[in-house]
Amino acid sequence: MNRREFLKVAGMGAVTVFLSGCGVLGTTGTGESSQAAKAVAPQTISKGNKLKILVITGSAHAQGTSAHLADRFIQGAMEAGHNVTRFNSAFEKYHLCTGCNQCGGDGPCVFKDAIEEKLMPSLLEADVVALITPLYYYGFSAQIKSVIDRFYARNNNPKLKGKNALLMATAYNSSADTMPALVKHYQAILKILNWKDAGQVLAIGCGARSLIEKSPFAGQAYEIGKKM
Amino acid sequence: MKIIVLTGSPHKNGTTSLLADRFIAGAEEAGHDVYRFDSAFKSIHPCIGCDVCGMNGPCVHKDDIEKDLISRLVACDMVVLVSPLYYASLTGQLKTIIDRFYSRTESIHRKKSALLVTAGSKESWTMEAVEAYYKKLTNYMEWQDVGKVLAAGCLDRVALEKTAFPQAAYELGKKL
Repeated sequence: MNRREFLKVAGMGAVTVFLSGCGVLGTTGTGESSQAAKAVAPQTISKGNKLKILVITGSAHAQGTSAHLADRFIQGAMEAGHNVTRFNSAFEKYHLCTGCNQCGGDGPCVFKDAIEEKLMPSLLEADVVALITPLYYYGFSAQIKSVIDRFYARNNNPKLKGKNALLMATAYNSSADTMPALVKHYQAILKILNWKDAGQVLAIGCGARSLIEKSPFAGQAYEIGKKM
Repeated sequence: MKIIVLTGSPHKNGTTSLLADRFIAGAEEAGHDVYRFDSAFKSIHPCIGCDVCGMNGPCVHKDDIEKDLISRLVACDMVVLVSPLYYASLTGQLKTIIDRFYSRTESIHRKKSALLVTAGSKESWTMEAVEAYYKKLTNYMEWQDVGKVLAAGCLDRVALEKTAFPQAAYELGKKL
């Protein structure tokens, strides 16, 4: 049973996805916040300055749907002159937080891996952090969630606070209730870190690269990068 | 019933471990068959979305999920998710297990389920994200929720032991 057939069996509206694609859904819209990009007002974050942007991706597909959103966002941000660092969780070697608390919430992690050596310096310096993930079982992929868990090693560091955040996610499912659980989680993470939401691209009905390329979501990701 | 308890904490004797212990004690006293899988102490790999399984077949990762857990999940009657809240939701360890449902996902639908979580924080919104997530997950998996123990304000074992949450976990297991 392939994925599309399965979705049909599970009553997830596979036929709707197939017929309408995400482009149609994106343009018709239903007024649901989950279907529209919540884009930042132009220049509100940068105020004309160069930003340090950290992009953390969660997909194991190097050329998949969420990778496309990341590419388009980064393209826009770089064209606007910002400095972008990208950390692809699924292609890095790292450990999961063991809650040992050696870091005390602000200190070196016991794991000297890609998160501690590569990600953490960029994370502390970043003005903007973009979390970009495929939706796996209605949440962040395990790969990116495991990276977020490791934020703990600098959770109490003043440099980790007060950043701007972006959420971009892609999903097969096209129904209006696809993304709210993820968004709620994202909002809770922001509360914990004292970060501010600076935009969301919630690409529902985008189960394949061809669908997202044709959708308005890719352009929304680009525009957010360009107009930050 | 055959019950699978999936824990997400890397602490062997931490807060969620106590909830799991109490739930299991109740369930076993009631005559149920419980298998506990401690994600943080097993060999596990995250789903890479390769789709070799086609959502209904062997996973490319020959780890403890594939070799031990997945057939038990298919055969069980109930799944219990037990986790501390890390950044407002299930730990990366437990989310890794959930993502790996994918290789047999249809066969893991239509079970009973429960959620046991702890958090240090006791803000009013502490449990909102994990509750929303669990609700969405159970809806998608067509799981029938039989109960939740949401232990906010329990940063350590001492704090949790003073609350009614361990007893609630026991009762939940006992009344199944």
